[in-house]
Amino acid sequence: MIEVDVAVVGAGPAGLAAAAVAAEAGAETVIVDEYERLGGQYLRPRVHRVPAGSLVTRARQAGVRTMLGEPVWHIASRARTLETTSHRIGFRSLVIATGAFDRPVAVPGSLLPGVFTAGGTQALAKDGAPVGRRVLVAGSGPFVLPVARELYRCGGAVIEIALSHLPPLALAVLFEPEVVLEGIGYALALARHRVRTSFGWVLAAVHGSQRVEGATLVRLRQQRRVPERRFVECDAVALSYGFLPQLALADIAGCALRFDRMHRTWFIAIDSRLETTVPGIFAAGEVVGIGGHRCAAAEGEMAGRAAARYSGHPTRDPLTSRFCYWRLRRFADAFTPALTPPCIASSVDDRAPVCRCEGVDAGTIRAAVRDGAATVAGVRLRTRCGMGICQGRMCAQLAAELIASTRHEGIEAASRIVAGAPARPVLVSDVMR
Amino acid sequence: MRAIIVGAGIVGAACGYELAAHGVDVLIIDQGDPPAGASGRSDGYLLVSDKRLDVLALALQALDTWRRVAPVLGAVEFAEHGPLLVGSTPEAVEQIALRAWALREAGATVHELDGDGCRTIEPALSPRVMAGLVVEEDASVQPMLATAALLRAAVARGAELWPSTRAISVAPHAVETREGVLHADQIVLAAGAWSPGLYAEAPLPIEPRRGHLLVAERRASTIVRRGAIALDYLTTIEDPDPDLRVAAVVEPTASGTVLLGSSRERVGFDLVPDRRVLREICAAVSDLYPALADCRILRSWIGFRPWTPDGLPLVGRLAAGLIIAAGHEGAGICFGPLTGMLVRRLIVDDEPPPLCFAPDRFRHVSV
Repeated sequence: MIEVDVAVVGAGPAGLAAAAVAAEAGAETVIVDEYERLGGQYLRPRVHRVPAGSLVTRARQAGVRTMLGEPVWHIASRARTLETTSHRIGFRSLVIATGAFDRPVAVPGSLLPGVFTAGGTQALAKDGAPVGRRVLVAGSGPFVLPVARELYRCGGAVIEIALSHLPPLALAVLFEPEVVLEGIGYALALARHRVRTSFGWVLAAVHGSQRVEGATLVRLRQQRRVPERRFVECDAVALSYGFLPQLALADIAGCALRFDRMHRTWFIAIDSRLETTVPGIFAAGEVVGIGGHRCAAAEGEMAGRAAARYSGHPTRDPLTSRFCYWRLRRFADAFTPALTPPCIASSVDDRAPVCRCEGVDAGTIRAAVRDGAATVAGVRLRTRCGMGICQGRMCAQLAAELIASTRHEGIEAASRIVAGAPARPVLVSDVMR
Repeated sequence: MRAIIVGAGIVGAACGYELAAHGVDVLIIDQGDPPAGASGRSDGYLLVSDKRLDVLALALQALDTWRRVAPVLGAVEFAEHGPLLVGSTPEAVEQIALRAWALREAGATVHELDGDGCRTIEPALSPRVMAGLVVEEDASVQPMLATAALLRAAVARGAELWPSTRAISVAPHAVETREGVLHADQIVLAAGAWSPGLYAEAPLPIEPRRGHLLVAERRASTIVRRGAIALDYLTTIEDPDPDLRVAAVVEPTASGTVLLGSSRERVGFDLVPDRRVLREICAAVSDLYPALADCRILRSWIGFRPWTPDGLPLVGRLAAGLIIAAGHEGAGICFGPLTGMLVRRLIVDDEPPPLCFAPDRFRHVSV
């Protein structure tokens, strides 16, 4: 067993910042991540390059101990230990910075080879593998821009960027010029390739016999009886309809969650010091609210210092850090709801595959609701939706939206499921240790 | 006649089904989204082989009832075979022989096996297994599907189901809920481990007995074919000690995953998973099936069995107009349909349930 002052789960911007400041404050700090490299998804390096980014350097220089390629599968908040597939780590305080993943999409054909999440598209592109030469990038937020640009970098090409709505740019310019500049940079890079961009369209179906050959887009918010549809010929589809937080470890640790009505999902509940409802366990980054990498890093710093203080290493938050965090989180709270994907559950086709692990489609879930199921748990017990290897990570939100739309109710009551250990599949022999 | 059933686990669902099928006007309420309580968190073994020797006849009757009800329910993964009950010590061999004799006496069809005989049926069993038995009457079912199907069958026969309706208390002819008081000729309290909290008149001898259950990935189905139970499982059921008891229960499911249990401890309604329990269950099951050590666990969960001091349920009248059907410990799925029938006979035919289920049998015992 390894004993540390501060343990950080997740080595993305939030986790790296938290680990760096905690170590700088003198706390013995370890950072754990299931990937082999530091940086999480945002700072994922391009092929054949060492992890880039000042945060990685800063964490290394501060003497943060790293444990990579080891998924954390259990947190015992009473015993103050966490377990990876190969180590047990005792901690005084903990920062959960497990980040978010692409919000899954279910449309007929979404299991065809050639349909990717935006995150997967970007990760593959950074490894030098374009998902296609005529890619349809469909989504609801600015993340489509870096994904499209990354595709061109590795030799792919984009046939169209289809956004569900125009992001509130005025708001962004006002609060966060940096973000706008970043966006303009991406847009200029894409302008050279004359990528077609459309607004007000969402993905309705993917077509193809062996793999993706095309996709159907449907016009959003139209009063016509038969909504306007159009076909886009493409060889791959990259989907970016927002993000969902990774909550399993917070659930296992016993941290309370809060429901966010704008995002229609749950996040870890924290107080103004970024402490969860479990004393000594802090949270930062996308798990407490979608906000982007800048907000995550600023929040990580605050959480890292709070965790260091809790473990007996006094440190003060510089005013600049506090202000930076306050400004970014405010901006994120104002801006990101506008990027949330539209809820189109009521129009999802019955044949759309919802649970990939167990092969459950939207029609089966609607039938379970008609049979009386009112929650994701009730649907799971009847249909096996969410019982597979991913334990509902891919389908629970989709199922909740289907339940809510079928029952004409809010999604809050339907969507809450409590994850049990292990947070990631773990060998019987590892549990026996 | 009108009856309100409090609790939509397997017992409440079976009571609702039986009563509705016999013309009673039934309302089933539950605080959650059924299949509720322990029934949504249970394994699916329907066993005669693990029951106390004095209730073997009732267990056989429970399996008979299951075989009559299962065809009505449709796809509930009802399978006509149960696990091997195995032992790995010389004492266990003796106890298995004794149990085989008692099971035969009660009328069950029993096959006794030596270690190699066990491994012929279940090749992945540990070489340390010395003896085992298989009871032909044993069966298995998918408990969540079965509960949901029983509820559906009840509704199809005229019953009404109100989920998300929390009862606050029960009394003869009345159930108090958050929305108001409901009245009926008969109230059936079938709220499992939650029953004592609803009956203020007298303390009910029921306590939550927590259990962890784990599910292993589909690869495990290449190792576990028939399923097995370690003989010491029987002692963990009967042991009244509140501290943690663990014994190996391994059950293959129709979907290919394998359920791994079992643990018993009386620690109240504590939902925080215990690392030590996970460790001990994994150690126990890989003791039985060494190859399971290389399989992955997908998930674990916690359920609360309604424990009574003698391990048998309370089925009968608490007062005129108030019936209890709870306290089945880990045998609720097995005894569910039979309990439904007993409650129906009590209400419709005024025929009392077996004496060993009498709710007032602990009257002179302090618990």
